[in-house]
Amino acid sequence: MAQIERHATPREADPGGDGTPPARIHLAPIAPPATLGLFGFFASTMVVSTWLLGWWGTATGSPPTMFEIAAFFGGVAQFAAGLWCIRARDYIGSALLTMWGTYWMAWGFIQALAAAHVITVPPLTTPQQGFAVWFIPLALFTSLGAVAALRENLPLFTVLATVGAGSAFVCGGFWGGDTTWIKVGAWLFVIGACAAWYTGAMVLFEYSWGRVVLPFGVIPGLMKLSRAANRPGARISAPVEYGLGQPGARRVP
Amino acid sequence: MQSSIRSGRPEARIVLQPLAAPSVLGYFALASALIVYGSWFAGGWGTEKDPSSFFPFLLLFGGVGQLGAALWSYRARSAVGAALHGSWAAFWMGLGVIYLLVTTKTITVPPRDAHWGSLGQWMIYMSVITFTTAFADLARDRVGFLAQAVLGAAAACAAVALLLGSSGWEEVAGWLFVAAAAVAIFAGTALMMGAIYGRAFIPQRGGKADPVAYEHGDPGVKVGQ
Repeated sequence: MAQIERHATPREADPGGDGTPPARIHLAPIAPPATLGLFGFFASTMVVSTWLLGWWGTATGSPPTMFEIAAFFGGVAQFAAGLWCIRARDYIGSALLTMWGTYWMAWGFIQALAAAHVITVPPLTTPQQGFAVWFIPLALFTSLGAVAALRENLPLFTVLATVGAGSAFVCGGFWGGDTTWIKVGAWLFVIGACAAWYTGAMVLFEYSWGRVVLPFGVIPGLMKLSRAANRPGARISAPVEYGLGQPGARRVP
Repeated sequence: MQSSIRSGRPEARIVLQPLAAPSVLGYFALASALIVYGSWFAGGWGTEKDPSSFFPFLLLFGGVGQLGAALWSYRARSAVGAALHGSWAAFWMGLGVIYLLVTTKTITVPPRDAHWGSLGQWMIYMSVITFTTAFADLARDRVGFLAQAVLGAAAACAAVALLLGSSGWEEVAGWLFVAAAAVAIFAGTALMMGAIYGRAFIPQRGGKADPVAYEHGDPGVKVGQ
């Protein structure tokens, strides 16, 4: 460091001549982090919501062998993807994937304590206000994310709008021990989970194939991307790559 | 010329940082877990008690090791690597904890050839996700596509086996897991050998590799150590 200072000329050290150091912004490309997070959300939400809807399993027999993968896939993996969204300069992903990642980890803790007979999880017909209250911030921030997603694309908006609304219904359902409200919320979660798979696949396919495969659902004028993003086969990105280089210097599939 | 902070908008430069392909670790970790679990799941060896011996391997190599590969895949600009390895890492960590809890007698799980609804449900979505990443990989890496397509089919068969409690489907699923592992080993080995020997061992787009390196530099500036 001292050597650099010795060799720096006044012009190099202060190119603007106004007493401030030189600055250069380095932009570093990474693979899109949202896909892993959305896939974790998709799988975990489908498994638990379809169980809440009574499509499979039993009320007390299923959770002890259901929560572990949810805690890691919906939890740890989604949380890590959310942190990488900070690097990707993605405000919605960084806030919401991390938030839902922590939700699945926390739900995993509850179920683990129940499996170890430390606590008892009551049936859905019993009011559980201490659990219902979790869904107030989840509904609030997910709905705010839906408003922000109106600038992005319709699939992402659908994920956040349905999950935000579903969180509000589930909150009411657990607060009063009302299974109808819980099931309405679970249906909205199922729709949101399917939209999460679509959104993750849409981003993954466009990145890997270098062109649109699944339409982005862009409303021109309202959203940032152009109308071309709705047309399969259209090229909407031009990545900087050294084609003969190692991974990182170029995109890899 | 560089700009100063006050003299206007700073210059921007896109910086590309080459890495060793994280999918070598990812494929090796995935294949290791698949061989161990798949051959046991197929009924090829062992008893109901054996998961208590091999769960730490699933949890740590198939799980934590593969998660490391998944997270480095972001820097390596590998969207498929991040999604595939991240998803299966989470699955192996979760399954490892299930068998940890079985070992500590906290929970019980059904025998290998019986109905197990929750794991069957997970297998459905692992299959959907794996077929999705397979289609994405078809863009450039046909061996990676094949490994994931076989793995997706194995997970689908495992879902049927676990939901029906069918030992026949379980045997098919288990050996498909092992077949997927064999292709994954080939994919990972080809990536590693291709980088070390400087020529492609499997057909890939992009031609012969010519990485940028300063051979007298430290690791990272040169290729390897």
